[in-house]
Amino acid sequence: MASDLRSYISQLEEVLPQQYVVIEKEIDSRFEITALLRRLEKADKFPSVLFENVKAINGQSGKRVFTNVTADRRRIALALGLDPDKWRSELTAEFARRAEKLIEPVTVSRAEAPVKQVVKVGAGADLQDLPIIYHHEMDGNPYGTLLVLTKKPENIGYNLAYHRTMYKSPQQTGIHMSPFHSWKTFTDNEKKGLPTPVAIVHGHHPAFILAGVFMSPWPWDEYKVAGAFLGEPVRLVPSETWGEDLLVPADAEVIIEGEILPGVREPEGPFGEWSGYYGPQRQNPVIQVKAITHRQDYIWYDTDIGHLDHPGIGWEAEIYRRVNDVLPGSVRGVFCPYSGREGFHAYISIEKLSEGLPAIAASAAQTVGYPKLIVVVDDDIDPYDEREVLFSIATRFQADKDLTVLKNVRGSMLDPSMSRLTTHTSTFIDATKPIDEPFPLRVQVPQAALEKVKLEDYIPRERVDEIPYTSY
Amino acid sequence: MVQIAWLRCPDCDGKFYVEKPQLGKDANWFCPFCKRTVKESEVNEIV
Repeated sequence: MASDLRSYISQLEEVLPQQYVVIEKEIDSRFEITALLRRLEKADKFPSVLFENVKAINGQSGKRVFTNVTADRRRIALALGLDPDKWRSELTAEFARRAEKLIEPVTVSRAEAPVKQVVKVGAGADLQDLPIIYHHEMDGNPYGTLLVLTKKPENIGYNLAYHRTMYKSPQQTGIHMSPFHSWKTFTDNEKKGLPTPVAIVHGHHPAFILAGVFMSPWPWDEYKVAGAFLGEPVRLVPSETWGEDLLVPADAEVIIEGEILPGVREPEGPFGEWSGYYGPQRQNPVIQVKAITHRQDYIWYDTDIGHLDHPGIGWEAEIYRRVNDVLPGSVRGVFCPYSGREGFHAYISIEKLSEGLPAIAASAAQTVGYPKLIVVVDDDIDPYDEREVLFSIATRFQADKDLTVLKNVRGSMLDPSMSRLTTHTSTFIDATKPIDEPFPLRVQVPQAALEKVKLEDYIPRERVDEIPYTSY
Repeated sequence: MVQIAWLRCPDCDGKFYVEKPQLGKDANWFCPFCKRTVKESEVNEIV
């Protein structure tokens, strides 16, 4: 049986039941789902949540919504079939490793495609039937927060990308695209006066979805990347609108087919973005919906954007891959922490074999996404522990010789601190020890003593549990 | 700062922001609160 969202949910129930919550009580897609997630966040709880009874835009109850999937890296590890406890460097490295072994998709018939169980075309394709989520107070309208797939020119393959899509009317959405691959395809078509066919994928196995945040090189077919992450071929089926000219994932939950119209710009936004701020309203392109297909009892997959449910691990894995390309075997870990919105900061741990390698690592990392702060640390520092990274900056870094500032680098349009629309200033901190001169040792207790002295031999477990957790 | 400008909806008084470099063309904007489409020349305030 092919991997899909349902197989993932079954696995989650079995392996990480504490991280999965089902809510049967009716809830409105307008702010109530995100309000509940904020309540959980306030309590430092980040489960995946399946809402069983959600109101659609048209007020109809009984829709299902699954969200917050990537808010905990253990669930991402599970999606790749790893032990959930291997959520640090093992997970990053696994993404990078799989990206080196792309898997060709296969095409199946409509009868074999669950996403074709219900087919609505023309006037019957009404976005109001869907539980599209209203996330934040100043959002322009309900938003889709998942993958938009396009076909790159000259049949070089498909692109999967996270794009916000704003509900505008029963058959139109707005779309915001940063100047990457989808934007390139769209503008190439627009120059010729042609519409750009798109399919919006709301729901699939999270390993498929994560292909949309992986920063593949332009020539790669991202259906092959999704297959690599899934560990099996993605099953594709002809779309309703373009047939075999645009293949869509057969095992998706919901597919919205449409065209980005050439030469049309209408207001889109504001929208609460992954940066944690509202992106401003802009004159942006418009998608004309042509068809909606879905499973009979579909589950609408949502990303709780602007919070921990931002799958920045796609960028992190590509940084790992590119740094590993230039420093083979030296990378110990790469982490894009939530403090940097999983995209602005990158911490890279390397085995420093000579001076100059940290700058090589930082240069490779600079080519992925929008890192503004790149910190390279030694291999005795855990990049997934920010206290360790800051310790390294505190004790191994001097700004007059270890700080590099690079101006006018491509930045994110969603970074509110940028002084120009598309460029920012990037900072590289070399927080590694010098290898050509003596450097003090970190304090440590002898290993033999650590092995001999067991906590429970001296302090009862209950007493240990009573001691407050100190996090600073 | 990213270049934004605050607009105030003439109908509901709701404030929202838009990308500032796109102003000056009397384009339509869209109030996220009352859903009215409003021309730039109709807005009460641009900050």
